[in-house]
Amino acid sequence: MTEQVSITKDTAPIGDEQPLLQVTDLQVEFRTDAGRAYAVDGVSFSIAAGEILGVVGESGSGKSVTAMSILGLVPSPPGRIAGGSIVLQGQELVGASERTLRKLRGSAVGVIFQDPMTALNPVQRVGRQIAEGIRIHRGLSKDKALERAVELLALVGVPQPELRARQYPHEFSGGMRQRAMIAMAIANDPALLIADEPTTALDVTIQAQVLDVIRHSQQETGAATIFITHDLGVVAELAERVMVMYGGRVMETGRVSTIFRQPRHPYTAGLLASLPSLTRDDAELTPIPGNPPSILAKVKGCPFQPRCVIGRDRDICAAERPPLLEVGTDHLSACHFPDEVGASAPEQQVAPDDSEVRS
Amino acid sequence: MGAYLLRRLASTVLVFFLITIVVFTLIHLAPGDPIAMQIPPDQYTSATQDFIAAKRHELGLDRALPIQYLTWIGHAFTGDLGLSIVNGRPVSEIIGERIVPTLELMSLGMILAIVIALVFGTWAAVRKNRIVDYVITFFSMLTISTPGFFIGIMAIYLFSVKLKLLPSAGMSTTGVHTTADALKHLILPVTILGLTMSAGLLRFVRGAMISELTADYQRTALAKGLTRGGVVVKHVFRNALIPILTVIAYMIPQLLSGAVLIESVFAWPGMGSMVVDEAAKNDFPVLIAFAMLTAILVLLSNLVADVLYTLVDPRVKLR
Repeated sequence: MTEQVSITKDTAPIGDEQPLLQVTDLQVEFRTDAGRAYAVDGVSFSIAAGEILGVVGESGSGKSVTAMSILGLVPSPPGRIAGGSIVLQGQELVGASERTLRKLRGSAVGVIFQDPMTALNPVQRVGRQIAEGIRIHRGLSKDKALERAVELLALVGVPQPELRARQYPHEFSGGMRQRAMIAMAIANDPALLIADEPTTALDVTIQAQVLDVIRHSQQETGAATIFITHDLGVVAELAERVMVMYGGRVMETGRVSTIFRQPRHPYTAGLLASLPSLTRDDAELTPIPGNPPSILAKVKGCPFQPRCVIGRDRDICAAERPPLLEVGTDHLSACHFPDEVGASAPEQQVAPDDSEVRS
Repeated sequence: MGAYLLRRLASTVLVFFLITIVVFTLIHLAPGDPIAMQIPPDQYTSATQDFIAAKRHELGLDRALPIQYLTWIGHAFTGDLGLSIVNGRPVSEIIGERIVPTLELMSLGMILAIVIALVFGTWAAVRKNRIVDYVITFFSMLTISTPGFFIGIMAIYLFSVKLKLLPSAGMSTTGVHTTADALKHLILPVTILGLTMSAGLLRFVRGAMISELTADYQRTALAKGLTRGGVVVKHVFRNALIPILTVIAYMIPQLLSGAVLIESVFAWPGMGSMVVDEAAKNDFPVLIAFAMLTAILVLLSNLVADVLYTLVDPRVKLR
């Protein structure tokens, strides 16, 4: 318990002003047939108004569940927020009534979902789907809301917005659907935008365009943005700060420039090393050996320990949970030996010729 | 849409003809001569043999089957469905007086079945794996596995014999012609037909709703700030309706056979009780006419279902 207290303390908002969103020691569990799954296990972070936070992690690292918890959108059952606190604009959301959360959904917080092919209702006109959120929160008339929907479609770069608003999702291409999805998310000028892998389901050629639209929308509305992705390149391009997640926990967080230059967690270092590089003369990609951990048991130590070059043979890494501690300005790492990550360059740690790593 | 409908109608007509040929052949192949069957066995002599042969010739039953078919279908188009072999009345007249009570029973039973299935199926889906779901599932399984006529007899025993609340047979009390009396007679047969028809549909509605309730778009709708009820009504239901419509269309023939049973139990003067009687006597002009009507009903309901699709699902374009 004491270590959780220390986490709370260590991740207290950086800077003087109160952050837009403060998540503290969030615990989310899922009841499954195989037992209880600890999807999010003590995650703490904050985001300031207007800031873009990139959240990176593999599938199952808890990044989406963390974001969905903010609005109480984790399906329950089987999901359940088991502990922690989520404070948005000074309001506690864990344990808040459905009514309270509903008022925030689509107004203070907008969500862009991953797969635009399935995230839109196939039997409703796109304009009406966008207008719906406007009508709920602003009480506009049907016509006024539709007018606004057309404006929004134009804003996100959908050509012929009047015509498009009258069409159904199946008449849109993937990229256009995602634009419509973005229009829906920013319809009520949210203070916080959650983008849950918004480009993952799209063609590579469309991804860049959609990223531009998100950036543009973010500037237009000034919304703080949680950008969830497993694409480090996207984070580098878009975000100011990055949070790296693994096994339902935060591994490392800090400014993008700092972390990309000098990661202080072996997992981040591994992620960076596994990126294909144009400058390095590698024929092969460098994967992180091993598989993500099962979340069916609470990990006592560090979830990355079985795959970690540094901690694999160390007892403390298996037995004791590394607290998320400050390792530099605006830079936190949950590693018992952050200095050892810094000691050797990431390329060396998981270099292709390092037989120990590749075993 | 227009061109589609024309083509669809053409194929419907073709299928209709094929059905009449098959039915006509099958009924004529069935054992038992309708004329011989009307003669008591103890009066059966060699003289009757000649009488039967003469009768068969008179009715044209000794001609080749294709000729008989063509004659019949030719007359059918002029509205002449032939005469009953048993009592010599025109089949169209017999059917005409029987069809209204059956349609009344079927349509009311259908409406009741759909309402029950949609309401309780949706309720069970929303409360999946909770007590409400279990209770609804229990009763729907019980209804599925209990034959309609058994429920009918039990209901007659309870409501007519024991409680004396409702009449057990017919469409009205002899000599009474009030709406209240007619409604009273409707309650039991309609409720039981509706109930037995609803059970299977209810299971299907529950399944369709459950799969749509976890669809991504409902989460989107929730994230827009809709209430959970609003999401179900405005988004999920409309999507679930698409597969449900097909099942309803396919239910109509089942509904007719359900009505046949219920009519027998409640002595409802419809086509069902008529067919049961006539089948025993192998009165094939009546049987064929009934089969033809059934075929028309099935084909039309499928056509209607296809057209309804386009109204519910914008992705379906009829071309």
